[in-house]
Amino acid sequence: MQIAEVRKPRSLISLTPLIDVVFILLVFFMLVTDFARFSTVSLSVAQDESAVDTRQTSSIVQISRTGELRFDHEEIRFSQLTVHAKEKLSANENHIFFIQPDDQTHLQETVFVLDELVQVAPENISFLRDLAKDTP
Amino acid sequence: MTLTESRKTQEFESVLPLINVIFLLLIFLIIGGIFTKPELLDVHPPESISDRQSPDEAIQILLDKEGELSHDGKIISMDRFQQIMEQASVNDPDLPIQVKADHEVAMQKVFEVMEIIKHAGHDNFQLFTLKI
Repeated sequence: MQIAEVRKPRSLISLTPLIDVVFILLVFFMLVTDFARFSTVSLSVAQDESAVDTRQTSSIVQISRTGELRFDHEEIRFSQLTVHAKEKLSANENHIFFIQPDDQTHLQETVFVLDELVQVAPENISFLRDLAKDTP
Repeated sequence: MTLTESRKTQEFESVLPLINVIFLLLIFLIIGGIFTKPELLDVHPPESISDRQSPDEAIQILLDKEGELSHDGKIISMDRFQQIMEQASVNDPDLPIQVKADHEVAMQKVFEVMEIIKHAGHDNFQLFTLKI
């Protein structure tokens, strides 16, 4: 009985180098990997107001630098945007929406508005830059 | 003698769960993560509900919240950006232009970039977003 125990494998492969290497790999992958999922939004390039075709029905969604919205010069809340857009589209399905942010508006505010409009009219959105405007 | 061997075996067995967990973490990071190259500018793209995938081949431009531009690992001026866009429209006018802009950048800077892209003759302009 005692002899059999002595003949058991005495030493196993040392695990310390393996653990070292695996830890280094772990740190490496933790530093270089990113779990953020990127997507893209297509934008039609900005036009100035002279480019607006007056023969087609269109609405202008203005975004102030603080994120307040105006739909055809009427102040609205963000939650009302799709309701107004749907109303216009029910009258004319080719109705065009121009997003006109203030020059100092953050991109995020503009993308939120774009997201709302894309849900109701994905093909009828364009950007408009008001070069003359200089809001306080 | 028997006692010493038994202690060694116990030590080995106590390390096994640690190795298992580390291997699982490693496999999770390898499979679930995406390799990213460190970027010259600190850019946090805007959040969006869009789930449109970005094309594999595109000209990528970084635009940070101060309005600074970067392309191909270098900070570039607006004039240089214009040259790059004009060159790109000669080489391949259909190649998409991807702008990875910071969510806090002023729209004035975004419009300036958009106008340069438009004047260079590109229609395929995409904005990088983070999926919500």
